[in-house]
Amino acid sequence: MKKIALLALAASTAAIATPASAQAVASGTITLTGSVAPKCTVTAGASNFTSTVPFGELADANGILRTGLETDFGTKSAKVVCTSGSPTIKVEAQPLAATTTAPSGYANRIDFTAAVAVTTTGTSPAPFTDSSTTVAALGPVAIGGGMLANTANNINITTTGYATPNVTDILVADNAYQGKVIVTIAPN
Amino acid sequence: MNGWKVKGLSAALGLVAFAQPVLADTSTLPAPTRTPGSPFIGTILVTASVGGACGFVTAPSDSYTFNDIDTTAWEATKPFQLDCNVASRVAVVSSNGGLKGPTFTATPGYTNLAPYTVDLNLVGSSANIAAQCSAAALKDGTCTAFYGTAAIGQTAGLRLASPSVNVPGSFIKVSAPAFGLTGPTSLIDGTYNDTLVISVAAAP
Repeated sequence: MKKIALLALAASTAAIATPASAQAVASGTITLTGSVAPKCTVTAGASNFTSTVPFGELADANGILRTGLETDFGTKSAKVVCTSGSPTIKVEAQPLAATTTAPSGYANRIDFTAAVAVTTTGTSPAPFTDSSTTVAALGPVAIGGGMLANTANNINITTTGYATPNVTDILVADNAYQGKVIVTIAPN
Repeated sequence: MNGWKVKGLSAALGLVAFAQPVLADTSTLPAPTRTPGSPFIGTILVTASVGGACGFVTAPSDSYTFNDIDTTAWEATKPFQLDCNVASRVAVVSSNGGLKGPTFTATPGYTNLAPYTVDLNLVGSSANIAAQCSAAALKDGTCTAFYGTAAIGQTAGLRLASPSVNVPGSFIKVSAPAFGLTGPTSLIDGTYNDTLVISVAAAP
């Protein structure tokens, strides 16, 4: 009897390919790090502000200190912003002084008191003051009251109490009486 | 019947190995034929398919550091290559919506969040696409261009209407100008951070 060989497919252990499933989601991670350094800056990114007060004639008709210097000084203002929450301030008033020697009964220096009012984001502190009669400056001390207010003219400087050592002193003649109010604000 | 016996094709014929997957054949099968004396011929219909395969050649992961973001502009570009044999979607999520600094009590005139921009550019074998979002919009979801997490069957992400297998040119870029010191708002001091998660999925 003839036999017909069975068509044999030997791949009995193979499997029909199943549909491939879509690949799972892949992802990556980008980490960004930035920094802001503690700093204080004046408007326009400057690190300091300056102003000059031209008092002109300091003596009255009698040669003694005239009045009105507080008004002549007025108020000097600036905007200072600090990135830190605990800035400090130092105030130093230096007398209006000349190099000409002053004999007894005369004076070659005019003392005064500088006051710096700082506006903060919280309750603003009382003005920080320094008298030119004291050698040491005020501070640095914490300003307090939160951060400096990020507003125009948050620093205001005034002066009072202009006086010669004796009220009757006659001011010596000199074209170069010079004084300073130095205000230093630091981030901490 | 001539006495010949033909054993039918056994069920083992259902176990067939194919070297390559093939597309489904939807044609009508011919009826089995047999010429007397010849082998019984049958046709086995086999269907198979290949789903979209999609990923990155190398995941776009990296770290970048930028100093003085209040006074200095900054940017970084991370190139990458997709590995997608179908169209795909790439999506991005920002954890902080910007570079976020130290915790602090909200104070007028100051902030601890520095904004930046994210540009996404995708290049395929036959199509390109690009879009831009702010980091803030990649956190709150308002930038529909590519906010979210890419997933199969979903619409989140920027769709590249072309396969892209080892095609160069795709990238993600982050950038910002200097925040500034004299504006109505200033950054507080400290370290700022954010994390972007970039995902891709097939979108045929």
